[in-house]
Amino acid sequence: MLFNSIDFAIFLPIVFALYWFVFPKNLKVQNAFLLLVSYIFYGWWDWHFLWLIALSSMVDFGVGLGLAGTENKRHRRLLLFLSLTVNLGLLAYFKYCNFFLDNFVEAFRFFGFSMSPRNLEIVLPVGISFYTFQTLSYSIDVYRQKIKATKDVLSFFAFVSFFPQLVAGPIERASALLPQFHRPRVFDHHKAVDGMRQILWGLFKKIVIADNCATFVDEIFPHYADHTGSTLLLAVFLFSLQIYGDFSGYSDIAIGTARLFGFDLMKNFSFPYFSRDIAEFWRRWHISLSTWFRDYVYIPLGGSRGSTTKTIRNIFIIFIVSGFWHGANWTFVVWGTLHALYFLPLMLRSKNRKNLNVVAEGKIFPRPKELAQIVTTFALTLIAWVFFRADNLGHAFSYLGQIFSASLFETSKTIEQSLTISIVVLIVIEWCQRLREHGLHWGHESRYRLLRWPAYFALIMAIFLCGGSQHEFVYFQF
Amino acid sequence: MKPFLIKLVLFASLLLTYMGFLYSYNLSVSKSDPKIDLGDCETLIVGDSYLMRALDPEFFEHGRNICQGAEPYALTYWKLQTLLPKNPHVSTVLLGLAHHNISAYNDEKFIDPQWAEEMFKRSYTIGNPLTVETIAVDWRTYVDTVVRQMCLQPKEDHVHYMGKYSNSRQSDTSDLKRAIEGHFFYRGKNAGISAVMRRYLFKIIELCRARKVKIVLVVSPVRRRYLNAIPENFLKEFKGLRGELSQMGVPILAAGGLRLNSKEFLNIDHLNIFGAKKFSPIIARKLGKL
Repeated sequence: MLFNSIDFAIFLPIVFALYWFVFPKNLKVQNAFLLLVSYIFYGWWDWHFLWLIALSSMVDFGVGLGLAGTENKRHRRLLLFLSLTVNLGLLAYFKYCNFFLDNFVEAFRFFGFSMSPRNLEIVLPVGISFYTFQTLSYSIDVYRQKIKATKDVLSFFAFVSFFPQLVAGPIERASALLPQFHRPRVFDHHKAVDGMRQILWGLFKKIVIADNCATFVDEIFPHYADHTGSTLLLAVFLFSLQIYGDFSGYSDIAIGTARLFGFDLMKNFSFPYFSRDIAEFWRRWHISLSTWFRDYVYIPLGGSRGSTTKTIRNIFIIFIVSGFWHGANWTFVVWGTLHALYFLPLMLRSKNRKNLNVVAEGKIFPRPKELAQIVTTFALTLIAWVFFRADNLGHAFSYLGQIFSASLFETSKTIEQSLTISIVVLIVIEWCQRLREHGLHWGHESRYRLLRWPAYFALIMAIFLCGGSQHEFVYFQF
Repeated sequence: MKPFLIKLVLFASLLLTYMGFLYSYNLSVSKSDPKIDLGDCETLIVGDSYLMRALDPEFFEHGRNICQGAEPYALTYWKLQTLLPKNPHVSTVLLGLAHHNISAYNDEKFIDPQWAEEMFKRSYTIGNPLTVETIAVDWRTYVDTVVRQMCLQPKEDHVHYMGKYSNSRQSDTSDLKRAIEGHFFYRGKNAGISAVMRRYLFKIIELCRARKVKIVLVVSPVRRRYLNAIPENFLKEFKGLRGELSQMGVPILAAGGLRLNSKEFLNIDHLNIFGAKKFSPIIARKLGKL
């Protein structure tokens, strides 16, 4: 079920009403209800893959219980190995099987052996990269004895399949989300109202910004040879907004929806395009994934504590793995590698934690130096986005070549005025709200009260008016 | 919880009131749209792309062609239901009749993603596909279309169902497969006969007769290869239908002995500008003799 569908607009109020009015007293029943509706939510897309979530949940629940019941190091390692094998095995099969097969064949061909195997027709189950990582974090944390294994099977299954964040994150840690299933939820008026605002802002970013940018981007990218460099540059710019609007929009809707049910999910985006360097960008972009890799890959590898060579190795590993997580294509590997190259100089000069605060804090406009830093960082991400969006490496390099040609200075194709206005609205609101949780977060302030409702009306109208045809969320494919 | 629900209901009520107001405004605008006034039109040509290409209204005294491509009979019925009461000058309706008009692929136009949005955009002010029995309708797209067209902003243009005679000089009759598969097959299988479109054909006849408007069915020429490729069940049904219509006294006009070469066809089943110039006067003449 898509967040931007009529189905969800009907589903959410029904679930909300039943959750708070029919099952408010009994925690177990409430959790069972959440589990049921989460499976319905997922099954709406394709119920055939529900067994995968159930399997992943079952294995990690069992592993957790096993880990809790033994102090034997060898047994514990074996149990962790089981969890890793099942979850990463599912990912490897459904997501990477054909990629490995193709590259295997290519490698053989390079050495003069001809092979022509049939590609397996594997459908990638939506959200598999997200929920497998979520369950893995549980097993790893129990193994490390950072959290205690749960004996409440219902809560655990509901934690893995919690519908707001099931298919595209944020990838929650068991330590943060699981305890919320164990304690009674109390309806919080301010939380719910803010949740509604966050949902509205997420829908605006997805339907008005991302879907309309997608129309332009999808027209230009496959036929890049027919367009000027300036048009291609505009298309990458719009793609950067599309991917941001799409994914951060999804996260906003997920977080806002969870808040309606009394849950707090972690922040996944924090105005990343206002970053002054790549390190800051990665502290603000897909936070739940980057911190996952930091905690479960980078730090176990030694992080930045070893020699310079080891640090460089670790940085490349984490960025390349992160790129590969996004998709089984060399373009994602290059995307990750590019970010590693951008990040490395900062790390080696110990400047990666220089910009921990919010840009231009307490000011209306950034200083010229800050503005230059923001523009430079954004330009670097744009180059990397070309690889992210391209079909293959050849496509990406040709596209970049075409951008940096003489036609860069020719007139560009124009975009619709409504899209230009929407983008300006997005940038202005996000800039003004950069110290807050999301674009429409007002806290408990009574300021602007008279302006708020007309603003919400305007956003809703924009969603209806500018909404193109219903698009799936880009991150579903990851 | 109570303050939250009150706030939510209040917000939703204001929003719905605003949208309701816009809906009423747009509805009144759509009903008084000057496009609905056909002026001194006496002979109204309706149907899909067949007559849109084949009948040049210039050959008919006070003629007007409002055909639109891919128009199913249900939509034609809604058009006439709206237009006839407002245009008392119309004395004759020429309606296209072809094998594909009774194909059940027409039913799919209200649910197929390729067609549904366009069909709803044309019909939202004149007919509600959700009320048509026995056809599946993509209600999400329908609601979405109605909300977008009627409830979001004051709009002046709501009449998207008025087509016109349109043609070209081009000719390429190599599209037999596309035409046959598009008309008589749906998702690779024989689409079968549409009981719904058949019923709407008779409803159109009833409507015209009730308003004392002469209804004449027109069969436009297609290439022989196309006719030969039409699946047997459609040929049989079409023959039976023609018999039934004749028994009811509904005149059916066709080209008769007119000989057309391939250069007078736009494609395998549509006339081009040269073909229409030959076909239209023949129909006009035959009509005069009725």
